[in-house]
Amino acid sequence: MLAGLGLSLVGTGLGVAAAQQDKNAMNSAVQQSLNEQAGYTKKANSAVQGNINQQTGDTARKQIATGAAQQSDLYKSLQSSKLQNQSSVAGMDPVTQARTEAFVDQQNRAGSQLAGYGNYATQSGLSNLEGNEQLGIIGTNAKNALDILPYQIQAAGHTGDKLAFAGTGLSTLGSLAGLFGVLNKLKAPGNTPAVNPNANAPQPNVGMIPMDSGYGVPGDPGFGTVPSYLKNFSSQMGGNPFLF
Amino acid sequence: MCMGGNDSAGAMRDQQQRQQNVLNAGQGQLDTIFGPKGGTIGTNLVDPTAGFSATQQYYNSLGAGVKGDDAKKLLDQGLLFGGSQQTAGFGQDFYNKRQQDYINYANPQLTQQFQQTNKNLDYSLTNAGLTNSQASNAGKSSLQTALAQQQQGVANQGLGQAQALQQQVGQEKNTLTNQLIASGNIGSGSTNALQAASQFGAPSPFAPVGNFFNTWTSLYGANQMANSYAQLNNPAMNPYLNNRVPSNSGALGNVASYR
Repeated sequence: MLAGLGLSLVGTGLGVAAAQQDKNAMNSAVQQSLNEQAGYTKKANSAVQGNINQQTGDTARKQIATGAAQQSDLYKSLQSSKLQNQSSVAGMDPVTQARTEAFVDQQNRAGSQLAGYGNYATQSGLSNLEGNEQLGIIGTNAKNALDILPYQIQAAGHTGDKLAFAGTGLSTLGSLAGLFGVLNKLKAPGNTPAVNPNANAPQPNVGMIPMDSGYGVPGDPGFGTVPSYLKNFSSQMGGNPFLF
Repeated sequence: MCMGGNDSAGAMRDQQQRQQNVLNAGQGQLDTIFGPKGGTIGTNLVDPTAGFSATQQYYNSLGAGVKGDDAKKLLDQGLLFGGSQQTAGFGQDFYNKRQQDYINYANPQLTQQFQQTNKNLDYSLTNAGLTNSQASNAGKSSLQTALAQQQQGVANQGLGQAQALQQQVGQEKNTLTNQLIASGNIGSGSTNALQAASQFGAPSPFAPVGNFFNTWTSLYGANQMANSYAQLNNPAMNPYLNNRVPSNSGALGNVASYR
């Protein structure tokens, strides 16, 4: 019987341990998911930061300057090309020629500077597109990772299943053992109550309180005595306790 | 009591990992195809249900050769390719070439038109007896300036086309990235990307350049007319102006009255 009780206790303990294991596993799954999401957030921030770095005023000025320099080189290349030599205007006096060239140079500088703004706009737009693409990929990966969290929690909720199963088994075994112990105790010779051979014999005053043998069961302290309340009541009723 | 939760969660985790690998590999392919340096990518995605040979040469998403177990792992992840292809990419030289292509197309026409306009100017100046004159200098300077401005216009037009092309390429990559995200299909993504890339490499028709010096000719002609008119009003050049009397005198008033 004690062994059964012990097994039941161990089984219950295993059940509690299994529940704790489930809880820990579920917490771990959630924490793992949070860590994973934090990693994606870090990647996304890095992508955004990279794009922001491409959009600063300093970067814009560099891109404008680069575009302007490239376009200025192109103007010069175009105006000093072989075809240009074929298309020079002959017959100008040196002063007019110099004045014309200065004017053209000024126009080249202004034009190339304006062209540089186009380079900035293009590079800025491309940087935005690149940033959006990176965020799209990162966001999709993050969403996909988050989508499986319910399944992971569900799986974590069954982590202690084996332990719980063992606990339930032990508890059942303990109950059975306890029951077996009780039955064995009852069957043991020393523990069997004495059988009254006259138990089935007709008894006088059956159904009435036996005045001669008292009340209760044999062995009780008051066995064979008349309860005081009956005695008092009997005296009140004229000494006959059977009149009520 | 359910003890199958781990299996389904594991399967979901595997599926999620596969999707992530596909997206990352697809992004790598698009970066290669549309990047400045280009590179090799895998082509002809192998169908996981088709026959697989451990001895056959396969390729990963970036065109590196794989065989045997490595190939099988990629096949299971849906990232095994039957071929590879070298792509040139879209570097600055590609866009500069687009600009130069337009210049090569338009500049000879500009030069030809300039030479014709220059001859017309010479004829005009010679007919007017103004060769080596101040008027000749002014006219030629004006034409030279007009030529430089038209050359800038050609270069700017080329630059605009190069930048538009750069934006198109970037937009195309963006579109394909979105398609990759939506479909999770690296095979169709790489195929579409290669098609798009080849289309960008093909020549596109240019609009006719038109008459570069039309505006200059009109302005110069108008200027010549104005000069002629001004000379008629110049007493030094028009002796008839010496007979000019106030218009309210009732006699011949001004030069307009003579015409």
